[in-house]
Amino acid sequence: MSERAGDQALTDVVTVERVSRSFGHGSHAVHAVREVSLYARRGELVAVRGRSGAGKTTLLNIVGGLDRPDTGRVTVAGHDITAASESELLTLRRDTIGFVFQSFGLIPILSAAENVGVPMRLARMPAAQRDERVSMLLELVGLGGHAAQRPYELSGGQQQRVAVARALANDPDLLIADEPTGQLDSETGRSIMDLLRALVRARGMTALVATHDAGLLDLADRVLVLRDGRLADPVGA
Amino acid sequence: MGLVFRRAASARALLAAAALLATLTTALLTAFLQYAQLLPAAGARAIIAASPAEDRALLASGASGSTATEVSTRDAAVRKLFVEGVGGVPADVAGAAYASGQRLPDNFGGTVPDTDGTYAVVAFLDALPEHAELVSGAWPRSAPAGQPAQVALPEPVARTLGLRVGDPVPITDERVRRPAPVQVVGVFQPRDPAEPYWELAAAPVRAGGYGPMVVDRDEFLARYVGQSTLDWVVAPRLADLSLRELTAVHLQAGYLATERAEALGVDPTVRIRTGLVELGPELGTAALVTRSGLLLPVLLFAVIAGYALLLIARLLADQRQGENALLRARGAARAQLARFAAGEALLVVVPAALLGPPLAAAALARIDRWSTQDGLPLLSGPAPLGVQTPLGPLGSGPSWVVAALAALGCAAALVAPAARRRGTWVAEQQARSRPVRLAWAARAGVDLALVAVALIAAAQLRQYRGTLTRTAAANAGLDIDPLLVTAPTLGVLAATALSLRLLPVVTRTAVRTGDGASFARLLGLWQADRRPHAGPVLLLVLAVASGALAVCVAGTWQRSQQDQATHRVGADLRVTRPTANRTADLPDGLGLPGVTTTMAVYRGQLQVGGDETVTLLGVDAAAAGDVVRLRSDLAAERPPALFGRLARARVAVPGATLAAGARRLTGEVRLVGASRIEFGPLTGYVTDGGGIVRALPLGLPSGDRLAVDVALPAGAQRLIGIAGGARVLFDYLTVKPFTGTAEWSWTRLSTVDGAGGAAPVALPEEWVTLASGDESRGFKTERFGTTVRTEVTENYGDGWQFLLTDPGFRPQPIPALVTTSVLAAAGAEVGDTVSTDSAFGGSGLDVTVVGTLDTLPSAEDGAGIAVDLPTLGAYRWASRESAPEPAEWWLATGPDSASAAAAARDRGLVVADRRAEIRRLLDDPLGSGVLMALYVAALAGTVLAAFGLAIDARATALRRSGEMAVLHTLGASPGSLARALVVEQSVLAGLGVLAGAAVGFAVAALLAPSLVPTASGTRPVPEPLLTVPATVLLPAVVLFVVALVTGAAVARRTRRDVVAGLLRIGQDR
Repeated sequence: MSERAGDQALTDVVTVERVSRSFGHGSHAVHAVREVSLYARRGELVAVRGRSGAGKTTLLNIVGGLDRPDTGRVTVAGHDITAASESELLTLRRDTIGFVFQSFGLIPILSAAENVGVPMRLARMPAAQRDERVSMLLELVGLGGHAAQRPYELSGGQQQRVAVARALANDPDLLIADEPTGQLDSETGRSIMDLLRALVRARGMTALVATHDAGLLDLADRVLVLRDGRLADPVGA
Repeated sequence: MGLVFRRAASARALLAAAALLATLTTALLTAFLQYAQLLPAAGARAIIAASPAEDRALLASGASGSTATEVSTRDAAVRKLFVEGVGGVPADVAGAAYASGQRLPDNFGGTVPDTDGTYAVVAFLDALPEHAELVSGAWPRSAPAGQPAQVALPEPVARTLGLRVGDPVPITDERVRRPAPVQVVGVFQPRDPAEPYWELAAAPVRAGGYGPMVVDRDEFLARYVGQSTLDWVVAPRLADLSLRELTAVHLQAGYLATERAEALGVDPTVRIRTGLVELGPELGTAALVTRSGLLLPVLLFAVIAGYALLLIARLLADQRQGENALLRARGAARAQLARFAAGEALLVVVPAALLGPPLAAAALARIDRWSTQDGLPLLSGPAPLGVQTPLGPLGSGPSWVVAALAALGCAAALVAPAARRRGTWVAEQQARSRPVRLAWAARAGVDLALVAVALIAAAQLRQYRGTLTRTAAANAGLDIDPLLVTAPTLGVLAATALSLRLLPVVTRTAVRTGDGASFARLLGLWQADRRPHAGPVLLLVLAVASGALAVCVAGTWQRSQQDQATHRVGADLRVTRPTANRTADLPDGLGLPGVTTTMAVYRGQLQVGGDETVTLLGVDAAAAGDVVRLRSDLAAERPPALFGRLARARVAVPGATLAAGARRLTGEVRLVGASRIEFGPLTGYVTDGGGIVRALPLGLPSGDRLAVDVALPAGAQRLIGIAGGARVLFDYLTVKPFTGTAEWSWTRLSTVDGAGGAAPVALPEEWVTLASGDESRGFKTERFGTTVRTEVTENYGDGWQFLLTDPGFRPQPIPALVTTSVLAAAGAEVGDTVSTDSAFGGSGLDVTVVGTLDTLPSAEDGAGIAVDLPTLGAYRWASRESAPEPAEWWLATGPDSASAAAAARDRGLVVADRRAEIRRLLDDPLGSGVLMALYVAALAGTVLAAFGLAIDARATALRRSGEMAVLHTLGASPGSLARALVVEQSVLAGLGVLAGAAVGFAVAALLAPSLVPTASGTRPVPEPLLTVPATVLLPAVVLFVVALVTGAAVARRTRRDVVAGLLRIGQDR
């Protein structure tokens, strides 16, 4: 193993090796991801950039265990997720990966605190510990005084912050965010990206963020560009 | 309209469900209407069929005239009245003629002599061979002059008189004071004893004669016309008539019964009477009672159906929330959105309106077929209805109107959520996050107003104890009171609305207690607690409550029919001796098969508190405990203990004790008196084995002696007195007063037992003569040993009576059980002595109240007084009044009372059979028809609610599919998400079922007994008791199981969808 390889083995949270994914068959097949290989290290915020239809979402789905590639291999935090069973993927998504959706994905009838607590309940965290952690996370995202409010009583930015706090609930190794600022104004979106960056730095986790907003790319440690399913410029790939 | 169709296509599943619901609703409401039209007519036919013959026909009677020509003329005049029938309805007319003065020898056959002799009814009856069949012999023909007239007898009369074909009957024609014997040539029995024709045979017999002894018409005209009477029975053909036709018959019958004979063109002696006059209003009231009873299931069903449609409309609105918000953002007004919804509603309700009447007609035709075959197990309670459905396949005209109105109602339910004023888009989204815990109705206080109205209605219903009230019109008839008839439905709605206020408290508590539970359970509890609207819970509560109420009302009605029948009869069997045509003295105990205990009963009437007329029953208190059937709540004690109070206080009349086993009383009375003294009949008085005072006719003296040899009643205990009398014959020649003596001397007075052994009877020393015909008129009667002597002084021609008995036995107030109403009328309490008056003149009765009961069995209105019959007899004896003669026997039988009833009828007794009466009341189409409607409403409500639950569960799962996908992405297993759905459904179903059962029971307990009227619109006697059948929980169990099964099915589908549709990044956009 080379020194680079050895270093990578120690610090890479995400490893994607020659992954391809197509939808449909024959002449109508859409090659969403073609032979993509990348890595993301611990404590790194990696932006995945590309136009609509470039394959960003498909790539993130594969990395997050929400989809299986046709070919290739994906490793997250040392787990080969391409060979994992459904229950193993479920455990992985619960304990190791956090998700932030563009439309926030909050449960409407649960309060901010209850939404944040959902992954902890799924992980069977003791109640006292859970309550303490929920308060801490809400404080972390600046919503300590909004714990009892329901999602539609919060602004878009506040809802996304709650989503971020929920994604951090079980202290994941990897945070996957798909267009987290897509439904927010530029100022709010930047604040969310700032938050993600701060969390990555503070907690030493890895964030994989898909975005087409060029104004936010400067907050990333690396930027991967996808064009027609391929990494256009394998800078940092 | 294109947009409407496209929108409809996008929600086709929900709209299809709404269409099915609307069609079912329209069909059922239409069926209820058609049923309400058909049932009263069916009930009327049943009432008519069960009515006595005299209530189904007109009976006319008049003098026959002196010649055959007069007979024919008068007969033709009466028949002419009915050529067109009665009220336009064809009628069968039959006539008869009865000869007067045809006297039978005293004690002929099994006859019991009346005071003025024993008479036979010699008659001719029109067309007898068409209505009867010969048991033996032949039909009578005209006999040659000088030969006895040929007669045919009814079989029971032949048996009573001990006559067979060929036997002569020694009749004396009192009109000409010559023998007019007849000869029995045939014995017959009716083909159909219930047809009105047989009133021609029954009426004269009720007047006191034996017969009829039927002769040929020509024979009658030749031998018996003159001082005879003519009778006619006019029987309209009432089967298959509509209520309108029946009303026309009733009106015409009333006119004929009240109009003067001259105006009718018949002989002035002709009188027409009919029970049809009462039958008309009776049928009208019965129809009204039926319609008011049918309103309850209709209203309950309409409420459930309306809410089920509202629920689907709400689901549709939720599904369209985003789309409508977009339209509103683009400038669409509320009215425009409402028009879209109305367009969709039309797509749903128009087919429903078109299909409703034919489906209803088909359903009723099917029920009609079932009712004439073996019914479904569900119908095993109510008897087959026999509702005839003259409706065509498309139903009746009014049913289309109802279908249209029902469809409009469905449309309104579907449009209402869309037409509702809505807040801003943001406010609506906030409402999704934090649904308002109380429905708008609760927030506006509408539910509290509803509770207030419901309480008022309930109070009124309990006060009036029925849904019919008297109108304020001059001829105040009954009418349905809208507030009273809606009271139960208002009660269900109000109680349901109140329970919804409690629902959030319960679910919130459940969430708090379940905080430490698994994620699946907690998620289910959260969803149950924070649903945007009560939806399926409200539907469950309504359906379960309505089902429970309907089943309780049905059970209460059925129990009430049994209680009413038991009250009317008073025992297993009650047999009554007809007032005339008495059979020979019935053997004590009657000797009927299958009877375990027999109790003789005297029935009379008393006036209490001035003008309250109540029933007086004299019963054998020692036997009453085993015979009288009294519902347990109607008295503080069971009958044995209750009547035991009377038995323990029994008073025995003093007298000469008779030897045990005595069967006959024998002796000789020597009479001494001048030729101007005419001695009257002697009567002995004894107490029988039950202590009842019985009069024994000892005979009419002939010459100077009277040989006494009479049968004693079984177990005769004492000779308590001897009565006699005489009169001075007026001397028309000399017109002089009479002075002299008359004596009665008893010798060899003895009893004889079954083995012929004689035991002397000594007249008690303390007996004296108590005489009427006092000294002021010249009579002085005294006893000297075994002789009673009257000294007559200067009397021209009066009579006198004496009674030889113990003068020291004086009347004392007798213990009595009285009903609470009597106690109130008398203003008395238990332990007080109440004075009553005779209802028909004469002296009354002083009673001491030793116990009370709510209703007196067999008393028509339930009010009355019960005393020990022997004690009553002793009281009357001490008051020197006639002994109360029992004309009824109350019998306790085993499980089979039919054989005893048949045997009693064969002996000419009038029979009331408790079990048969129960069957008759339960089989009444009017009552059982309402019962059926209640069960149908409960079933239909359950089906609608189950359907609504399934729709809501599926729609909810679809609406939450996004949330489910997010949770799965976050690490929740499909299994736990499915379990959460099941938990939610279980909690909501459990709460709904429990609340519904509580609401149903509460409303039933409060109101069900007030919803059971009689066919005449009056309150049943005794008051109905709430009865909760075992099937009351069936709707609740079914709906709970449906909710669980539906939840499990939807959960399984959701699990599959969740597994298949993992929320991929990007799908949330």
